[in-house]
Formats: sequence, C-alpha cells, structure tokens
Amino acid sequence: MFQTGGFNPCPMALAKGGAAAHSRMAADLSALANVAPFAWISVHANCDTVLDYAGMNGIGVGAAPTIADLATGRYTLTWDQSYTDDYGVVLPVNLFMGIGTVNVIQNMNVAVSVLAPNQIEVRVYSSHTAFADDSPSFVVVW
Amino acid sequence: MTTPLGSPAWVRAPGITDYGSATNKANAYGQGVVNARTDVGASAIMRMADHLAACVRTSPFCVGRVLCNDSTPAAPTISSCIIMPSGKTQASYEGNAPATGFPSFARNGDGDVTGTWASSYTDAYSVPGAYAPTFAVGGADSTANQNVSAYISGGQTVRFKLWDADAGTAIADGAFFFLVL
Repeated sequence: MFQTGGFNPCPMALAKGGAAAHSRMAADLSALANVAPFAWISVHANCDTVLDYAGMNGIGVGAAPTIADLATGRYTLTWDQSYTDDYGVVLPVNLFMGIGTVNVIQNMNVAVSVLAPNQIEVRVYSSHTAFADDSPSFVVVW
Repeated sequence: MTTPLGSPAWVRAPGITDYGSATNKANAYGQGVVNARTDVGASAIMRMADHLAACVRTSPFCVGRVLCNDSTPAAPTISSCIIMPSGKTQASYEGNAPATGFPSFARNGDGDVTGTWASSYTDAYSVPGAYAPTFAVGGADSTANQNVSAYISGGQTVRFKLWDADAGTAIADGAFFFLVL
C-alpha cells in the first residue's frame, strides 16, 4: 500500500473503494506486469534502421537495440544486457520470445528467433521466394 | 478481509473507479501534494487509474513458446509460458501435464497442436474471473520460412499450425511462439 502522506486519505477521498480499490489496482497491475511485452520495434525495409521503438527500457529510437543488417531480409537486434529503470534499479534484459509481421500490404512474413537473452534475429520473407529487403517490419518481444 | 472491487484483469471490464479514481476526483480540502516524496495527489491517481484500465483492455492474457514433438508423436513441450494470473513458468513442461494455472497442449498432427485454457482463473486475492480466448496470433521460432496459423474454434481452445511457407506443408518438430488475448 502506498503512503499518501500527511493528507491521507486525500487521494481516496471521493472513491468508494479505499482498500478494495487499491487491492484491485494491485492485482490488475500484477497481472499486466506478468504478460506485458518488453518492447515493440518498427524496422525500415532495408533492415538497417529502427524507425520507432517502445520498450520497458525507454521510448523512442534512442532506447532501441542496435540493429545489424545480416543479409537481404535478415537482421539482428541487440539490447544491452541490462537497463536502468526510473528509480535507478538495474534490471536484466531477458528475452524469450518474439513475434513479427510486415508493415505493408504484401504477401510477406516475418520470423523471429531468440539468439540470446538480449538478442534476436528477424527474417522478412515472401511465402514462395526468398528473403526480401522491400518490406518494413514490426516486431514485439517478451 | 477486503474484497477487491471490479473483476480480474482478464475479464476486460476495467473502470477507473475500480482503482480508486473518479471523474470528479479531488484532494481533500482542496489541498494538493505538499511533499512529492510522501504524498500522492488526486491527479496522479486519476492518471494511474486511466492508464491501468487502458492496459487491462488490451494486454495479452498468455504468451509462450511451444516445441512440437512429432518424430516421436507426443504432446508438445511448452518451453516457456507467461499467463496473467500465475506469471511465468519456472520450468518447461509437457503439454499434457501443465503446472497448475498454465494451459495444456495436445498434439493433433505434425506441427498441429491445440492449447486449452481454463474457463476461470483467480487473481492474487482469490477472486475468480471468467476467461475464454478471444484473439490469438502465432509466429515461428525459426530462421527458415515458416508460418503459424491460429484458430479459435470456440470454447477454451486455440489451434495452432506450424507450416512451411515455401512448400505449403506441415513442419514436424518445429517451435513457435503464441499470444492469446
């Protein structure tokens, strides 16, 4: 239970809940924290640039992982092994899965493979041909 | 014993009042935060409640990784799974022997499995909330051209099929990720 200070219970004064409301907040927040993605990444068609990024470690490309263009339609994303939250607590990057899709109306697919707890490989490809460098992609990781 | 307001997150019916906020929330006696280190004001609670409700509406219920066992046909292995009520699995498990609170998985054929979730789960305060899968997506854990199809047939199950995008055939002993809302 957070402390509300000298004017306790001012934040709860107009709510009907009190402890019941805070209990709901805690339970729901716990449930969300269990399943929340670690990051969403938008990548350029050339597989060499992160266009946008939203992660637990920060928002915007400044917080994005390092991208390496391996070959046509193939790239890796590498995060630092840890990050620091708003309170200065150092937390590990511990990825275990990812899912992606192309960011364009084409018959293209994206496959994600976790190479290390802080690194994934992404492949952008056509169903009946090979890899392609003409489709931007979205990836979300946990 | 205090019973939380509202319903568990996976019921997807959050409201700001469930979290102690209100549209006319105000600080008692009109007194705002005096010390940011010790006080939480009405405006902060309002924002927190609104953000929390927004996340509850759209957050996945369960995500995980499935390894199909096809060469020697058996239930798939769930190498990792995270679910709202229970958190993350401490170890991998066989789909036909899930730990309490985690989904079971059965093999239908090569690269073809069905996951089953309970119709009700309880939150951290033992409050039950009904659940049924409503959205599902999958992605191959692969460096090859592989796809995953997800199909909610109704009830508590989601069927996933892992297939070769080039050949259009099922993939045996492959692995895929899933996300279920």
